[in-house]
Amino acid sequence: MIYLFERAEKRIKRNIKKYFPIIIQVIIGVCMLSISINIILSFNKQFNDLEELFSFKYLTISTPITDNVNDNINSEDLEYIKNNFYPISFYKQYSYVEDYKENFSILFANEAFYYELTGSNEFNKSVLIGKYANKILNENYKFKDKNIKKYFDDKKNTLFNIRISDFIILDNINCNFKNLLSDIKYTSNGVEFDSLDNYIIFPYSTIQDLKDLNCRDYITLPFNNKNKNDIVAIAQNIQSYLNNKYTNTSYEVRNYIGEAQSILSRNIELSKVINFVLSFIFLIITFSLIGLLLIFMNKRKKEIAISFLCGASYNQLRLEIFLEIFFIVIVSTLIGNLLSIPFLPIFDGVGVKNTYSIYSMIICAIASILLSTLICTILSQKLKYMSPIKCLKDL
Amino acid sequence: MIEIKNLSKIYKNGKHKFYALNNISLNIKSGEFLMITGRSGCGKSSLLNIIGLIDDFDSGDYFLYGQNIKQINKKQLAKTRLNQIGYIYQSFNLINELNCLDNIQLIQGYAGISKLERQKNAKSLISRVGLSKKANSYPSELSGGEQQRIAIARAISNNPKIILADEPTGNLDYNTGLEIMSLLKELNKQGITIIMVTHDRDLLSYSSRFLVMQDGIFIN
Repeated sequence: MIYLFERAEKRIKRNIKKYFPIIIQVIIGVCMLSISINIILSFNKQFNDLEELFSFKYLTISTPITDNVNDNINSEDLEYIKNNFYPISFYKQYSYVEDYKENFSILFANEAFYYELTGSNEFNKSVLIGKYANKILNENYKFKDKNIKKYFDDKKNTLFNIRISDFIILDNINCNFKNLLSDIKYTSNGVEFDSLDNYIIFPYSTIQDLKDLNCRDYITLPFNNKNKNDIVAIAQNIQSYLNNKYTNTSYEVRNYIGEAQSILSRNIELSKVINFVLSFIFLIITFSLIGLLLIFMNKRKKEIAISFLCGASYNQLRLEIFLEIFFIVIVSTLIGNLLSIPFLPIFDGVGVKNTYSIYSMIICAIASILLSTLICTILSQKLKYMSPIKCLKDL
Repeated sequence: MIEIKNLSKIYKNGKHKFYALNNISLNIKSGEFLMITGRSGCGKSSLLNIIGLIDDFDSGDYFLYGQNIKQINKKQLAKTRLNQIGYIYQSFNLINELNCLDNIQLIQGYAGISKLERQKNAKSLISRVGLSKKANSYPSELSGGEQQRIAIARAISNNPKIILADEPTGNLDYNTGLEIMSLLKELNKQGITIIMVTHDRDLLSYSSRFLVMQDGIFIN
């Protein structure tokens, strides 16, 4: 066995030029396989993230907060929605300060939001602050936005009349931000969740006296046990009701589940296509590889004949060829796999952020072992028909 | 040692049958230097291939050390080739991708002998055939005579009891041919049975016995 391994190694070294086209083919094949597997794994990760969100369904209504109270959605509207469209048990309301120049984000949230975030009612009246926002506020932060600066008292060290030292750092609370669905971004790279690190969350009551802030109000309605089509239909009804009632304000009704679902179904189809195309290319490369090795084997009839004469058994010759192919395929697999890493970002445009996964290397290694075994089995069949005398006569 | 009884080898070409060996019988004793001569196509190489267990036959019996060859499987045949028979061919049959030392180690490698011992044996054998300086050369860098010496060193590397030589001087000039014959004679003196096929009747003097073949039968 050791001798056969040594011979395989020596033969590869001596024949490296002859093997070069085969090695290149395997490297390209494995590189493509690795890329396709990584894309599929990235898609799967995205699918899992989205599946997690589907466990709780939301519809979000948003509108800019104006001075005209009549333009804002109120409890009467929510009651109407509850009675006519869907029996909501609670709603999350928050206002988000838009288009300002600070290095952190400000949010005013209702009790349901606080409960969703912290899992208890304990923090309803507190100000919650992300660790990054906390850090910059404590480093002698200079406010840039005039509107916000008005509410900062540097002598008392308060923001919106609440002492900064009383803010509760979010890191110290077991947060469940994903379920809020308020800061999901859909980009060409897929779904991204915003971190709460740079947020400051104030109780919703704080905003009542702050009409001069450029805020947008969000009302999130939870839908339990409803399928996607039902939510889309309800969203359309609510939008048309709000648009009819508030003619001066454009209410935007966003169905996050619908959006996520549409991305999901598009990407599922896309992943199928990528899978099919790259598997097809890999299959072509596999077959051409087998063809090349068969030609190469025919050229080595003399060596096989001599090995037979020297007393090599059929199994020893088969093992020798297997080791040689295995060595080439495994080394090429490793190179192909590593080569796929710099190529992966090129495929980010397909709708998912591609990251290299160690699983792809394991899958490629298994595929390579199977490929080597397949090639060796095919070559062994050819070897079976090579008797010492046949090889000798061919010399 | 070798007992052949009524052995026939037939080549078929469509309906036409050609007897390469026609009902021949032969006994070879241990330590003999047997030469088989005859014209091209008379069946001498076919006989050598059958004796060397690399070709099969159609009828008759072949006993090697009392064992009926027909009754042993391919794996055992390979093992017998490995342990008991050495081959020398007109075209040397060295592997061009291996250097002289590696070529000599080939048989021992398949026999599972350790690297250290293999290398030690190969160095001793190459010195025995007088080519120590060419140990790391490749076959393409050697003359015909040198290549044949390496082939002989390889053939005796596993201490075989029988050496089969098919026209070992066929590709060599007269003087080099005589050198190779002297080497074979020396091996025979050491107790190795040598069965050689040649069409050169001048070499018959090296043998202890010779047989002449014609149309698949012995005529003397």
